[in-house]
Amino acid sequence: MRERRVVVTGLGLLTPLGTGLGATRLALAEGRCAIAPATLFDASPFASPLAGEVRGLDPRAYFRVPKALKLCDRRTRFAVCAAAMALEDAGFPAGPCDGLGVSIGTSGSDLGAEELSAALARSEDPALSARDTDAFGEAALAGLNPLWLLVHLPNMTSAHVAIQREARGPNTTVMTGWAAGLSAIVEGAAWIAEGRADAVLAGGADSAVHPFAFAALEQKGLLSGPSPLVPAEGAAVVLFEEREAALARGARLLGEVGAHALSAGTRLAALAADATPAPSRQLERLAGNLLAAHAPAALVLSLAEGLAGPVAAVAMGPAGEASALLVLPPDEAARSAA
Amino acid sequence: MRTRRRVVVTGAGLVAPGADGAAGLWENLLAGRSAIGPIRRFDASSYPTRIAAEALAPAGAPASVLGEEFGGRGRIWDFAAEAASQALSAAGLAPRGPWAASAGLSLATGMGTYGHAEVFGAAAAGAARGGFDGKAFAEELRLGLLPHAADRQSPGALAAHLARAAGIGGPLLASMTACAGGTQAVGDAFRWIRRGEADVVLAGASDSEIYPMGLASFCLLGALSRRNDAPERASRPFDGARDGFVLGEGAGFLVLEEREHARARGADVLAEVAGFGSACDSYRVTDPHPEGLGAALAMRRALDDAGLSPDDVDYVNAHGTSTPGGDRVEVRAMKAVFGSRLDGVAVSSTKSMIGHLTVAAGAVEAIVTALSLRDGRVHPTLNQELRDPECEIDTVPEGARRVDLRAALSNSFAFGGQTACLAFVRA
Amino acid sequence: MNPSPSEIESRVLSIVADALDQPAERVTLDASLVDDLGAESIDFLDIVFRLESDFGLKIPEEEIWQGSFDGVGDDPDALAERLAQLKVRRPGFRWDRVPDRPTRSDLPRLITVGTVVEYLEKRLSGGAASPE
Repeated sequence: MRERRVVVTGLGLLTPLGTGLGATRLALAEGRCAIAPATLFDASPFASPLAGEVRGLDPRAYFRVPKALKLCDRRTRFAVCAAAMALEDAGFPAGPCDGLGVSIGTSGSDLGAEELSAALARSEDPALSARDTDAFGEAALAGLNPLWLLVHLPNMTSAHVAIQREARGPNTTVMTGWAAGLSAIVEGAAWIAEGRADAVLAGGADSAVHPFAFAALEQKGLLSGPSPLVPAEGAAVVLFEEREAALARGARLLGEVGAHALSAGTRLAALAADATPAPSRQLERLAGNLLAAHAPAALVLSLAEGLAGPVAAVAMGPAGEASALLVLPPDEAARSAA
Repeated sequence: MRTRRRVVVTGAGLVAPGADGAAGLWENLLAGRSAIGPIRRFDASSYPTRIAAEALAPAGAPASVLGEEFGGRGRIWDFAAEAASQALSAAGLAPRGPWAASAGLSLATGMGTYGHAEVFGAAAAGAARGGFDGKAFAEELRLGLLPHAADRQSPGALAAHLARAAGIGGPLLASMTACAGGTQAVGDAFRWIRRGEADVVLAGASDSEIYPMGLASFCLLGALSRRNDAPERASRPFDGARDGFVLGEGAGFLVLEEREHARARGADVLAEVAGFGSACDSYRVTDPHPEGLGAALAMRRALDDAGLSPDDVDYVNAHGTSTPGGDRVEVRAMKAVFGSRLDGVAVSSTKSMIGHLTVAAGAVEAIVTALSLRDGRVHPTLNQELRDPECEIDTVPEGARRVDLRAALSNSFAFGGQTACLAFVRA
Repeated sequence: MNPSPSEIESRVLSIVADALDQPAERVTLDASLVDDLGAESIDFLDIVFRLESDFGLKIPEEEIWQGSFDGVGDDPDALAERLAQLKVRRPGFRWDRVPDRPTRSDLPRLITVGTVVEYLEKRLSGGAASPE
């Protein structure tokens, strides 16, 4: 059974370097560094307070139904915005689409610290709730915003992208740690190859700039030492389309999906060896580590440059999770022959 | 013409309310035994919902087959290690055997993976002076952080841990599509084998929301039944007196295998996975699409993927949560897909007896569906007492039934609108 | 010192506008939360939560939405009769959108901004004691 060919037709990117692909590329070209002590929360108690934060984003501009914003945490907002950017970049037709899927990778959640605290502040005995999870549950029952769970359920990231775009294709939120975004991209492309979707918004969206992420990273020793990891945030989304349909609608092709790996091992090593690496390190030096969105962001940057040859995006995480994707230059010959 | 690879289920393991392993659960379901009762794990007396289906703690040390350290990271990890161990044993696959290096692992888990305990102390510190004191929150969190925080936050870490313990070196994916997650994890495993990414995939899901914060957050959404005085009658999918779902917890794992590979090693086969479909309502955040658009799409896609028509299907293991709106919408979607054929389809909801296992539901229910096909029997839906004119389907109210089961569907739908459906056929 | 009726009204309008992301001019007393302002089930939960926080009250879930249908139950005749009474009291509402014989599942569509304002005025003027 021959599988269908998958091409990239649109890119969306949000990083600490800029709220958009153009802004990020410019900052990279100028060597501007966006790393600074965190402002989203007071990170001074941690071994390293440095972070890469997305600034100046106006999400309303990217939300078809802005009412949903109250239900979207940071990484979900980033995902929706980056997806909207990718669709616009691709010139993808608007309107409900049964064949448009969404596959986004993310890690962790900030669990809404402020809302939890507010719920406790309203309760009769906040100190008791600190020691006793039973009491905490009751305080939550009495004073927590009922929408809390919906804001923090990780699958909402992909759900909101779909709702804003009325996309009814397959839909998943991948959570394989730091490899999540790239794994989501691999799977999203696979859906098209298999004929389960005709187009997919695939990528990573993450925000590690919150106490829970910092604490967990610090516990692993990653915030200490001469070059600590810099937790960052952002989103990178590509629009994949089935190749013939993309050509038929006159889409501009940025690349074609090649081989992939969804785990560490020889296959991943082979993919990485034979291709130009996506600029993961450069991005990390200037923007910090975007975790699940990092490898997707590096991939988007490569695609934006224009591919002279195959490019490999590789993601690896501290628990051993890994994925890799090879992207080939688009085959222009077929288009000019058509 | 290259023949399509076929995928079979060669092993299953689970931790579920009231049951020790797949055989135990299956026996309970056929006997119509409910595992729903008052919550015992913590004092829920001040909650509007005080009932749940709590799972038996795994007997002895978990993961005896896998042998790797899984403890100290909460119930979700314990359940997963136990269920995965059982599945591998049932399939006759020893950890780190020759099958493993190229095998895959496809996992879905829930929010409970995030160790909440230390967040609460921190939240109290953050609230101490009125207004939110972010620095106090961060300081308290750092000091109070329990071990393995990164692992507890990451479904990917659990997946990697399981893979390492089993010697699995092939494709690895951890996903989280809430209540559709379990079905999706099995569906992804099926896709990989069919495409040739792997010959064997360990697929499953694990979840537990039965702890104070979990219960509180579902209570706040008004999603749970309040029939506290009669717990075994609270979960009544499709029944006219239903008032919400009941939380369950647990884990289910299946070994999916390429059919010739399974034959070559003489493995037992429960059933064949023939197709998978998934979609998204893209309507609203919690209200399902009134016509069940996403649900119907998922079912149609699964049928198409399996090369089946609605006439071939004899049983649907429904999502059937027992919510007033959700059940009604699922019936509408089934009517749209099956038309008049629906009269001849048995539909039962496992949730009527073990509650809603949230992310793990789809995986445990996939096992139940496979067992139904193996045995040619379907379990009843409990508590069918009051007719709902909008849910006039055959919910197998009378008790377990023998059915000449050729093919069956298993549905799972999530908050957010994600929908997933697996199509199974008799092996 | 209890807030005045006009203060209650303006705070409710502001909360509803915010929760439903609607411009102020659309949030009128006769506006149906569902049909005119796009509310879905979770928005009702959200609005109640915001009202509780803003006004410092506990609002039992069903109480605020029962509004005009206290004691009516599921009987379609009783519902229709109560509806007829409401039509007289609320001429500004879009009754053309409501079935003549509504069922309980139609009721959320009848809830207007005015329903909410009336409920709070009743509570805050020392009306029905609020059960915790």
